[in-house]
Amino acid sequence: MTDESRAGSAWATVRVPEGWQRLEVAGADAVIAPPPPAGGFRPNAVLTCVDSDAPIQDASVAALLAATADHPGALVVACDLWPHAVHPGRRILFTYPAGGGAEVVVQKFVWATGRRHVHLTASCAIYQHLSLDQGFNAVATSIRFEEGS
Amino acid sequence: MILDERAGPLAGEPLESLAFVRELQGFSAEGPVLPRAALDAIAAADRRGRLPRDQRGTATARALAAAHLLDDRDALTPEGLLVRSHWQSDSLLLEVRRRGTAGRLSAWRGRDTVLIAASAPAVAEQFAGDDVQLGIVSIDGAVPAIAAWIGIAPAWTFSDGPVTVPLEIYEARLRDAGTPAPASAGAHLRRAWSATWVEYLCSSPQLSLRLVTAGAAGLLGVVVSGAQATIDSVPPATAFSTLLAQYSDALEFAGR
Repeated sequence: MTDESRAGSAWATVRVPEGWQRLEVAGADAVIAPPPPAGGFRPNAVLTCVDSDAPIQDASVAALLAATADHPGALVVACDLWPHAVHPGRRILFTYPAGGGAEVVVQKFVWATGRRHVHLTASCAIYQHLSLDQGFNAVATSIRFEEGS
Repeated sequence: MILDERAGPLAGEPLESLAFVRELQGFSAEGPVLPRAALDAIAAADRRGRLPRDQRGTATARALAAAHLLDDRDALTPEGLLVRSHWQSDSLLLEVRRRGTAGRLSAWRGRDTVLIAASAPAVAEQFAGDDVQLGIVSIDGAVPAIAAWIGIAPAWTFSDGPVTVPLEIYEARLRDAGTPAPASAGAHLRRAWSATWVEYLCSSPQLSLRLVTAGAAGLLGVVVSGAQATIDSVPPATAFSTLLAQYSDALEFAGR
């Protein structure tokens, strides 16, 4: 990474909004997060890439199935076209109970490049969703696919 | 992978079918099912949880006992007292009234939880129309529960712009799917117009939100003003956020 304002891998990067921090998480190409709140859930956005030449429709169905399979009690709310990139994308919105009465809202952005499936998984507590929704959308809109992705 | 043959042409590209998601999820509450009128009896119990004399031995009392909310001395059980605790602050947060198949969901705020009393979901109809199922959820878990009851779920949504029709046309369409679509309706609204409609009026002390579920065509937002109804498609994510905002306002009003 040569651009300090971006985070990601050799295949895809997103812009790091001013004031957000990079976190180190094993298995992720990048994790960025707004400043931690005084308490409760720390919102974050995780960028990952997996090799796949399957089209966006398959990537979307896989992500929808994973939302309910990985999170018991999940409610998948929406799956929309996400046209703000050179590759076809989707924005999937779901919620799931995280224990102790907490509820997490996830906006999962999925792209299919022809060689890879790129995921940006943005999570926050449900009471943070309305204030962070646009910030997460802006991060997703900033996605840049690097050469060879 | 199955494609959505009706939505794809509207988008101008192949779109995966989203119908399978609805089959994987739905409203579920873990509490008992009882007549809605029995809730009034719980609310009328005295400070120690005893039912009013005129309620004792009635069908309502028997329903409460069968639901383990009333003991054999006509006093509320700990579960019954927990249900009643949500009314001590007189805090109805949100009420959703359903037309098409009649039903109602009410959500009251307790100290740390929300009591939900819901008719059977429109797509399920597991129990009688006058009965409600109780559920106690966390304050943060209420909106997903309400959204699930309404049936907010992924659906390809396209806006052809709002269409205003006489209110009587809207009401006729709610009653009868054979009511012709307005001439000004675009392709998406025409698709939605031909689906099964169920109307949900979500009311809180501050505002109301009127939604229509239209099967695979998703959601319509309806604004009634005088003798006119303005109908437009609403992306499910927008409906969820609007419902969440409405709930958050109600929580704030009730002093979260």
